[in-house]
Amino acid sequence: MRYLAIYIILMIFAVSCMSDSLFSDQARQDYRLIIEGAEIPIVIEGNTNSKIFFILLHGGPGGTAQEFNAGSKPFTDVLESQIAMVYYDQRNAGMARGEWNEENLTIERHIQDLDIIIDFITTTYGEDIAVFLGGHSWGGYLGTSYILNKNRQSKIKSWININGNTNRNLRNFHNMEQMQLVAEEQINENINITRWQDLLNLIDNELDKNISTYDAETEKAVNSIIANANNLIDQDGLTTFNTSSSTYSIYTDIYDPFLILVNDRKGSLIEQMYAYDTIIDDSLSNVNLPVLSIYGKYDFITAAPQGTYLIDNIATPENDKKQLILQTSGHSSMLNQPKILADELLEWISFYK
Amino acid sequence: MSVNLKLIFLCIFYIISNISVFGQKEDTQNKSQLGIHYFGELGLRPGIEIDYSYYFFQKKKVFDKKYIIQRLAVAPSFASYFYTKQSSNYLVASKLQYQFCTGSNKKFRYSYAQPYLKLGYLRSFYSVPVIEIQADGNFEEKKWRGTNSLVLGSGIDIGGYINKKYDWLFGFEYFVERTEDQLYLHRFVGKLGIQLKLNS
Repeated sequence: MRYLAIYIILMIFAVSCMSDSLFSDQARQDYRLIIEGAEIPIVIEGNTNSKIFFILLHGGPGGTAQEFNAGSKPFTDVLESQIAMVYYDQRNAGMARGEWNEENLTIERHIQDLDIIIDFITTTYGEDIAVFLGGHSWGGYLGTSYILNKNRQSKIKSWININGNTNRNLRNFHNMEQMQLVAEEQINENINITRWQDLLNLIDNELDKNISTYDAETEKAVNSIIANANNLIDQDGLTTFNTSSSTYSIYTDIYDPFLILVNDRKGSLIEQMYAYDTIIDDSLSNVNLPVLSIYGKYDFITAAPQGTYLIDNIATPENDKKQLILQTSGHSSMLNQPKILADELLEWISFYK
Repeated sequence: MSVNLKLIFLCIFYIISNISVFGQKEDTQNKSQLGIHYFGELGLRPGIEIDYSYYFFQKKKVFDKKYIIQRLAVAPSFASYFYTKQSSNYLVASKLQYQFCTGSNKKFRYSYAQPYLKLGYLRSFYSVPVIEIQADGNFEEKKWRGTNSLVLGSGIDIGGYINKKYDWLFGFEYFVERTEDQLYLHRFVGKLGIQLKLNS
């Protein structure tokens, strides 16, 4: 008993003497960055010795980067062993706190926040680090919006768009196009024919409405078809999920399900995205940094043609842009094919560092 | 802290102190207990709670083999609990609790159930570096930053006799945090501890 007590005291002393070095193979640093009233949580985890920092923007709008850090360990663990991952929750989303000001809930404000976060990372870890920017889903829209400006492009080595939404209006048509493609494939394979045919009919009905410009209200009809298609994907077993338990992260990390659940109910950016499409459309030709675009074949939420739209419209030389389709992934490629996705990212990052 | 939050905070303390004063006029027995409990937010987020229960009303019924005591108490409490890599939280509250206690006339053992309402103020301090961007674009570390919340909750404790000095206590509590950034955060707490009978 006495030895146990001595051991415990020594362990407490040893732990209290440990200091988090900025640079290590298994670093972990947490910050709260206050920007315009928002208190943004930033987690930097992984191999900071590599001096490669990969900022991964979360989806939503209103999601959390903890969906990667806590919920996609089979994906992020592979990356963290080689490079430093930067997870941050956007204002009014996830674990972010601070003043609630609806006027700051804009795409422009999100872009400025991201710019400040990149500055903070280079200020803290040194100008010699390589910063890569990646984004998933809505994070794809935010990242694409960020790189439209030449000055901002100069702060990062490459833009990596993962299942990203790159144009909100076109997204509706791209999703229906991809659902038709997969439905026809499944029908040709004699799988679940009736239900896939029903889905094709729903898409035809939607297209018959001849809507050329959707909005936050009218896109709900398309989203409803997507929900049907995703059910069929599950029924046919076309994708599998490789998740990690986020319960563990509730007690060992910053994951707080109750905060995340209520935070994204404040306001929405969807309508603004429709307005912002024009800016993206007009400015994509300004982009000439390396771009990797990755989509799941069965992603109907932000379908692969969204990536094609991005790749086709940027001015990046052909050799420095690439579109990759993961054959057994849906919208959550990090969960569907975590190892393959991580390996592809590391190969790209290693080449452009 | 907003002006409204300050006013409500002051009102809570006014009510707490007044109830305690009125309570002292009552003719009651076994008047106060000091509780020390493990306070586990979501079960395993570690914390500690100390409360002082003052029983200002008591009604006893004696039967052949057992007795029943019903009591009302106010219990100012202080709890501190921690969120890993995030914040230290300090909750000052007052509980209004009803106790239903039953015991044997022959043996000196008893047990009780104790539902209560809770009203309080929660201050959270970030336990990670807090950095603020300045007008000139530089980054400056800020100390003592955190959030303020009002807390409203309820819970139930189950307790019983250990010996003349102590009772055991096990409880479950739910409270909602109304935060400055207009969120309602739901919190669930498991408690385990002892009650020290101060004037037994």
